[in-house]
Amino acid sequence: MKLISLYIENFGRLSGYSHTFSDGLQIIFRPNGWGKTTLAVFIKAMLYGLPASRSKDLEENERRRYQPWQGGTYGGSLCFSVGEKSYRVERTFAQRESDDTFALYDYETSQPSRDFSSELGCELFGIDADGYERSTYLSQRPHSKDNYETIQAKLTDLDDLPDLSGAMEKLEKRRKFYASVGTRGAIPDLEREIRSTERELEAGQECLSNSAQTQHALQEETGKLTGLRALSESLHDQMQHSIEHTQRESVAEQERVLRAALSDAESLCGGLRDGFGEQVPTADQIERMQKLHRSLLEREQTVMQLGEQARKIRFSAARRRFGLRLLLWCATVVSGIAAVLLALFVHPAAGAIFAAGALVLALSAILIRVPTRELPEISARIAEYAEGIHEDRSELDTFLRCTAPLGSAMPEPGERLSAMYEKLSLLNRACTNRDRAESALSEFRRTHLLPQEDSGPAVDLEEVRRKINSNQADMDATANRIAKLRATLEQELAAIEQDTAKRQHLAHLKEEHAAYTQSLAVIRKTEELLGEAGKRLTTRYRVGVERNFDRYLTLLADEKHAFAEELRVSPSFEVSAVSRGAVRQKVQFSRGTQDLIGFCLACALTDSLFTQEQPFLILDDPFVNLDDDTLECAKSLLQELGKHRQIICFICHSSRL
Amino acid sequence: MTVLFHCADLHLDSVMDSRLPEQSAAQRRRELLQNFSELVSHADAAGAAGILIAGDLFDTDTPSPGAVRFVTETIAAHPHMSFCMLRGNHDRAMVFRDLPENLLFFPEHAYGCHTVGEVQVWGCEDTTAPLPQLSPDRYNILMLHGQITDGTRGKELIPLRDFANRNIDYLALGHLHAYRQIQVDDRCICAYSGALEGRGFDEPGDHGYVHLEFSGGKCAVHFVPCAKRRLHTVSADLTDCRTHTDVQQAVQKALAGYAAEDLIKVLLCGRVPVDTPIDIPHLSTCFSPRFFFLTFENCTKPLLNTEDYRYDISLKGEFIRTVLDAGLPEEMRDRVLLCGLQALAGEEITE
Repeated sequence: MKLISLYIENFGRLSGYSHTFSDGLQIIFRPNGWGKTTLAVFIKAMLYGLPASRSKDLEENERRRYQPWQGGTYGGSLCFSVGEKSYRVERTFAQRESDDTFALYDYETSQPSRDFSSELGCELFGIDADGYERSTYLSQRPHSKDNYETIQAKLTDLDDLPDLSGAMEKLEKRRKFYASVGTRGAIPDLEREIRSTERELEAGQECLSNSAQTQHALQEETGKLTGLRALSESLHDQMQHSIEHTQRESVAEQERVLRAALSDAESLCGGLRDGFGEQVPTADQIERMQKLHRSLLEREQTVMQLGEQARKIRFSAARRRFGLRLLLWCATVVSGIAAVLLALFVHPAAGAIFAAGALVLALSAILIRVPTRELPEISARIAEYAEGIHEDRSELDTFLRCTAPLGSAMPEPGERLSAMYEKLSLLNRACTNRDRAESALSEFRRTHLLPQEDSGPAVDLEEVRRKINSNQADMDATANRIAKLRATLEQELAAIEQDTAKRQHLAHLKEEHAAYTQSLAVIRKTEELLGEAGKRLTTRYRVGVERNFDRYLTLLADEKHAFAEELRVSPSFEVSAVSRGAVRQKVQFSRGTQDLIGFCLACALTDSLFTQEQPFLILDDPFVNLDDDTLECAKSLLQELGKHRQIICFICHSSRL
Repeated sequence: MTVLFHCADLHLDSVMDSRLPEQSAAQRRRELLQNFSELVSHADAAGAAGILIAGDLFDTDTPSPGAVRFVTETIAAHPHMSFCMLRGNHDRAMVFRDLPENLLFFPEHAYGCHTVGEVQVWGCEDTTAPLPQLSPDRYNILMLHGQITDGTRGKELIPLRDFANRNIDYLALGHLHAYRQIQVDDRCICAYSGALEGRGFDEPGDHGYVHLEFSGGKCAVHFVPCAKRRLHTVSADLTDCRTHTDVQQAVQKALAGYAAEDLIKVLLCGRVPVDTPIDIPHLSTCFSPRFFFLTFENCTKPLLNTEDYRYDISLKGEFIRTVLDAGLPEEMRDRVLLCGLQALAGEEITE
């Protein structure tokens, strides 16, 4: 492919500029700032268009960077030849890529041509705009982007970013995160955790089956405990029955005792009552009788005393009367005597008197009565008493007869009354006791359920107690086993309780494991394909680059400019040289030599990159660092290259013409 | 009048979506249990004679003892209500140790009947069991757990036509987790109550129970949503996003209007340039506090016009061509491309 001519309508600082290109090497002498780069970009823009960009950075936004300084139509045209045919491409550029225009004409006929589309450059060279730019435009600017020393940058389209090895390192690091050497890595960690969780779930399942067994055992023991409790109840019932039997017996016995007591009391009462005869006196009656008796006694005593008194009175009276009578009789005697004497001795009258007196005395003595004034009173009283006594005595006797049958061994009424009273007290007490006994019996019967029928033979209480104790021991043992089983079951259930959470966790782990595994597969595939791409890239270009590089070096060597015995190009396009028996890296050579080597490498690369149409080269003062001799070599090289391709070389110093 | 509640597929004590943090999953399990308790309370307050549980009350044959105890105690605390329970395909085993008297089961191979209020509730765990003769003068409910079919019979299959004109007022079904109602004949309405709560993002929408009222010879059916939380899957289109802020704004827009108590899965979709920063941990940090649970799934595809790289001589272009030529499945291809480009760009590999 060769450039024929171009017309810049407006492009950056260039406006209304035309240029016709010649074949082979052409040197264009332009001062600094003329627009050599602008021209190169224009040529690229005609072939590839201008890329759309939203960047406000002019370095990154060529569309904005090369807007016409003077306004006007932003674009131009380029004429070129491909093989036997020639074309003219016209493009204009707008704010947006969609408003750009493209037109291709047959250069000879000026008729529109459809041989190429707006992707003219790609279709011509098989390389995109960026690759074209990096490989066809060679400058000496210090910008590493355009520095043709860095073939890797051209190939990898990277600026100061990691290259293939850097990318592979990142991938490797990420891969190792998932799966490293041995069993390290996130995926093995997950697998371990999954296995552990599955084991825990299995253990949980085991706990589940164990818990079923535990529950079964618990049910059995609980059933057993229920049976023991039932037996305990039965034994307690038996014991209760026995106790009740005993109680009933006791009740019956008590009832019998009470009945017996009542009977005894009744017997006693009856006996005592019988001892009273026809009727049983009351205490009051007895007391009254006793009082009567005492009264009787008192009255009798009184009567006796009265009688005694009367007797005494009488005796006294009698004695007095006797005395009197004696006296009287004495007097009588005396009198009589006196009378006699008198009569005899004195006067019979006197004697008579005395005799009369003696008679009187004798009569007095005979008739003398000692006046007992108290005596009638006493007698009246005695009579009164006697009557009362009689009545009372009669009453008492009647009372005694009725109440104290004959044959009682106590004849004396007082004693009889006392005995009666005592007996009555006894009787009353006996009756009270009987009443109490009756009341106690009633109360007892009211408060106690008397056995209606024979409750059967009594159970051996001790035997029952022994069985109860034995059963209680069994119950305690069973309760202990139940408690232990419950504790075990609680633990098993607690483990099972975690089952759902563990399953949730396991699902989460498996999801993560699946995701990680997929990611690992992606990374491995990426490594594989990226490595493959790198190999293809280097293989594709390296062979060609090596061959062409040798060719260009040979050209240099032919010019007797041997600065090395051997130059080598590594797979990563690093150039090294063998000089004086040692391998020297390119940086160990002079700047001019480096530039020359780099230029050869860039040309070799360009030859390799463009497999379809070979493009022209635009060189922007590439040999500023060369000395005169080397410059001559370079010129020769350029001329040699110019025989096979179109080279447009801008220089800004006439010394390099 | 007899009021009954119909519910099913509670899947109590189940494992939740694995993306849910374990604490949140445990909380959801507790909420499911609580929801059952509240359902029973609502039924009691509504004067319901009973609750029909059409299968899968528990998620497994071995639920945790705590969950079983909770359910048992809840049922036992309402002895005046009958709980007619059908075991489903997930909870075949008898897990109740101490059966409350008001918890009524159905036979495994033939239809059994429980009278609840004025209603005869029939049920069988075998969907292929012969149908009983039902009295036309009674309210009849049939409980089954399985998938309705047009006519295919088999285990856990319910051929609806077999239940038409059989004096059935209501066919209380379980197995599907979304509410669905079908008129079987003039008299019979068939309904899946759906799950009481959604458990995963494949169960979005409303969840609840069915309120049944039998009176005047008719059965009134009314779905009552009662789920505490809803699950949503929303899409956030990142096609035009180029920066963190763009992505955040797109997600913000997608999440507008959703309730804080809900669970949301955000699908990041669209074709985005490989250098568009899709930082899911950062997005989670920004948006997760607003909801009970929020997860992101990156479904974006790299915005790669392969034609753009046809002539790219760089390693990046070579790599893209190599990947495209490798014949990988689309998802793998996109992920490998993104991974490789991130590595070449020196960015953090998000894979």
